[in-house]
Amino acid sequence: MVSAFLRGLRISLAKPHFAIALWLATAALAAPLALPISNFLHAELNRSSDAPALVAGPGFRWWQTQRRVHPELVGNLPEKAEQIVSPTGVAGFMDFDGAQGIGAGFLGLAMLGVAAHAFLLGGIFGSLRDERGSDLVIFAREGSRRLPAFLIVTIAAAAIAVAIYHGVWWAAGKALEEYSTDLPSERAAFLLRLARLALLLLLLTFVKLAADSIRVALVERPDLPPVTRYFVGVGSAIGRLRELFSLLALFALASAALFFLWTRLSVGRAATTTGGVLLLVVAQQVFLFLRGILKVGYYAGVREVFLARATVAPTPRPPDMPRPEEEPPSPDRIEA
Amino acid sequence: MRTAPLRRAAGALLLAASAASAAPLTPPIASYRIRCRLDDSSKTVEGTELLTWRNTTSRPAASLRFHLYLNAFRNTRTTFFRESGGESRSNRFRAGGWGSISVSRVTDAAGADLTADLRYLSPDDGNPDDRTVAEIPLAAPVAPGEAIRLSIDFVSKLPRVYARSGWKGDFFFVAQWFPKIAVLEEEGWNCHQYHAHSEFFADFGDYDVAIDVPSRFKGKVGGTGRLIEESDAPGGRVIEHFRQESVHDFAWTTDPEFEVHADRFSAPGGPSVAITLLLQPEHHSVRERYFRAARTALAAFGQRYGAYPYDVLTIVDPPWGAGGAGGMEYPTMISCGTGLFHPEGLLSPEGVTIHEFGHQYFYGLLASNEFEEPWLDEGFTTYATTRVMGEAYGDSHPVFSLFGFPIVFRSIAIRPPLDSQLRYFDTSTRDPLTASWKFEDGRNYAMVYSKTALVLSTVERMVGTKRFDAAMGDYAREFRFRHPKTEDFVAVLSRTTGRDWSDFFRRVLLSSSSLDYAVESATSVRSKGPRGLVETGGRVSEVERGQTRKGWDSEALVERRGDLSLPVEILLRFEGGKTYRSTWDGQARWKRFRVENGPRLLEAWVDPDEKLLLDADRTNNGRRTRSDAAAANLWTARAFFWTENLLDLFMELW
Repeated sequence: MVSAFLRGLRISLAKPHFAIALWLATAALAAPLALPISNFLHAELNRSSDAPALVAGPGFRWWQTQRRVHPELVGNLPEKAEQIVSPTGVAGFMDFDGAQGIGAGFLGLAMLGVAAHAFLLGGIFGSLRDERGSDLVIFAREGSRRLPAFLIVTIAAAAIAVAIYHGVWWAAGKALEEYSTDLPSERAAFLLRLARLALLLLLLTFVKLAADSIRVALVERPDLPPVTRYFVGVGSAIGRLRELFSLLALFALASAALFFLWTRLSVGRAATTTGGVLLLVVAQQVFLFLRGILKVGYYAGVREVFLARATVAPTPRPPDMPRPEEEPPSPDRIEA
Repeated sequence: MRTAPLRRAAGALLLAASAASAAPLTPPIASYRIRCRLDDSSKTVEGTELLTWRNTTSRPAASLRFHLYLNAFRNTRTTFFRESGGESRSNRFRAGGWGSISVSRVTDAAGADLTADLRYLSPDDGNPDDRTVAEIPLAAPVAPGEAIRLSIDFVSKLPRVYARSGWKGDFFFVAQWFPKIAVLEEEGWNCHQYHAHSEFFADFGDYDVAIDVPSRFKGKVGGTGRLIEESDAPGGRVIEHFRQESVHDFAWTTDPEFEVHADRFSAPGGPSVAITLLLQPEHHSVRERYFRAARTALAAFGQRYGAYPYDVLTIVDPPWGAGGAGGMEYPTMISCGTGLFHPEGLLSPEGVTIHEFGHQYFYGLLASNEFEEPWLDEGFTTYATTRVMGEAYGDSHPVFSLFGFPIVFRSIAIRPPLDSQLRYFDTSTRDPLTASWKFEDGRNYAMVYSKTALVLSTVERMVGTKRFDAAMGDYAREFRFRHPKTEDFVAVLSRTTGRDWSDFFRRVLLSSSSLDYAVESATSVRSKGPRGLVETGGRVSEVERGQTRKGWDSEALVERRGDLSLPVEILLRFEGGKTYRSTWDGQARWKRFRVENGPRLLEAWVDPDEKLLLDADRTNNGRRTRSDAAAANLWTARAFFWTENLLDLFMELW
């Protein structure tokens, strides 16, 4: 499935405004947190004698102290975020009720991000289908037009994913806790945990692939009744599981490689002056743009996979530009 | 019930003079000859002990008090269960895993049966359902200096292990398992119930223990002291015979799966120590890490606190699912623990091995009362462990668990002693250091470890490492085989350093006061001459505008924000590399430092050398006169970037 991913990447590179839109949306979502974070850090560090050490390195003690002294800053978000990927896991969103300040703000923005993402995907898939080319106007129009349906898909996928996590990781983990400790060796317990993890990842992957296929089907099969399109999407995910899974794996690998490259480059090390920080910010945003390119490449790839085996591909007919219908002359309107 | 043959065998043991006995290192007070039998299917140990106890007080003892600690696991109404809620050190009680100990017969040397007079006491909380302390009135009081011998038959039902003692599958960790006499002091019996957040207290004596186990456990039994004999017994069984002089407890373990490894350690002034490692097969790869940690500990503790006086050390690596047995200390035997995927940077099993070995000193040799002054054991050991770990392994690193697989962040350093004890500040003002069962909860009890370690590190920095090491060494050597108290340590420290530390320890260690010094402000402005009526050369003139001078007027305002006041150093750092140091007694709430027409002040520090490690917030200890946004800008950029990435990831998940 390298070819589908590469075709998707080519499309993504040919239409960089998709990646720009993704990047802008992410930056806009993160922006409300930038000011409180910045204000806090400037208030704590600008005259602090600890500041030079924090330019040089992470400063474990400084951050731990700040978290303790300012519990209102993030609340329990870091602990809970870590707990999500711990062997015990969290029961669900309710566990985050101790988030405060920036931490609670982050959670709110993440929810908003889910809605924004539905809009962005609607824009991407709708624009890719539009034969008249794609520009920001079409992108915005398609995003708005498809938002309700895409939002339903996103929310349903999120709900199913949370339910799967709750069941396979948290609840099953609790149910198997005693069985696991009764196993004769840690190796056996490890294999059991690995099996649960593999099942969790497989199910979550399928939910993701099904959601993406449904989105493509919603756009590409306007000839079908709305409810049928959902089933076609799920059927498409099942029928093309190997291709889609490979595509997602390639996307994940490419993203991981990009992150690895980022950590190797250590761009932040040079950011000891204002100019250095500006360069760092630019590099960071370029990184996010490249992430956007990969992401659009993946979604375009999903569409390619769908279309490669699609049976019907009717001509698009944008709803805001209805085809003018000729009215046959009515005998009573014919004037003598 | 097999008490009759057991009693006969124990009697034979009592009479037999053993060639393998070594000279006691201290006069015994409570010595035991125990003959016991493990029933691995019913998870019970049935035995007879012959106790020889000497009254070392000046008052006669009309009764004896015993610990029957396995009764802590008897039901949900015991004091231990009520306090712990069935959870101990991150391990939970399992349904059906109850434990208990019953005394079936007690006779004195004259053959008088004392069993019927046994009664249970709850001296700490009056809980009528707690049976962890028992009293046996004697037919005749034991006079001062006299000894008494009792024969006690008992049956111990081991719990499913979650709090130190018990079984998992074929693994047995048998601790606190026999009727054990309490400590008689001049004030009376010092005998506490088994509590959730407490350890133990006992007198020194000699132990001779023969353990009868099924033959599949042959060669896989470890215990306190030397294995002096291993002999086959009828019925497919084997008897493992241990002996150890001058210890105050006996624990043993067995598991047919144990890999048995041996090593040896020698150092000048001490016996050659045979190290036995009872290792789980799946931890085979960490064998050498265990041994290296043990040798490091033997060398470092021996050098500082006197040579390890015993010729054996047994290290137990509990199996998966029996973590509750790990991380414990018993005389000449320690239980540690590690995991399948523990990279070297995680320092596991190194940390726990060195810590538990440290208890061979601040528990094994200096047998303080862990109920009443738990810091003398756990706290002192934590301090010493931190020193040894830092010297042998350097900084540690944070660990992130990804679905149970540890990931070590090597780029972030946790620098001992302060960084590794930051948990103290979470509960610093919640409880004073008090008797172990009087803490509000387990989190507060953790102060016993962290606060003590920080206080001792503070004293070390105040008096200098060399002098402090000398004081600790004197304390450890002087009180070996005794029951030292806090005042004993303070007396040695005061003597060694030439300064009375009693007030310091009372206010700092034993109180719940908080310590926080801060530099509230630091400024430096161009100096100006005086304004107003100014006398120059005998003439008074009115000056409206002060003349700008070459120097700078600098000011630093230092505050004491906590309740606790200690003398603290102040450092003012000026342009041109000049510095000014002063010591503030810290009594008032604040102090202002002014320098007129001097060099430009760059920054002010309170406690610049990081001596007062109990300072709750060190991020306010240094302040610069000029603002520099470099660090804030850098971390803002990073925070913004990672916020974007996390949001991006969250968005694309669905």
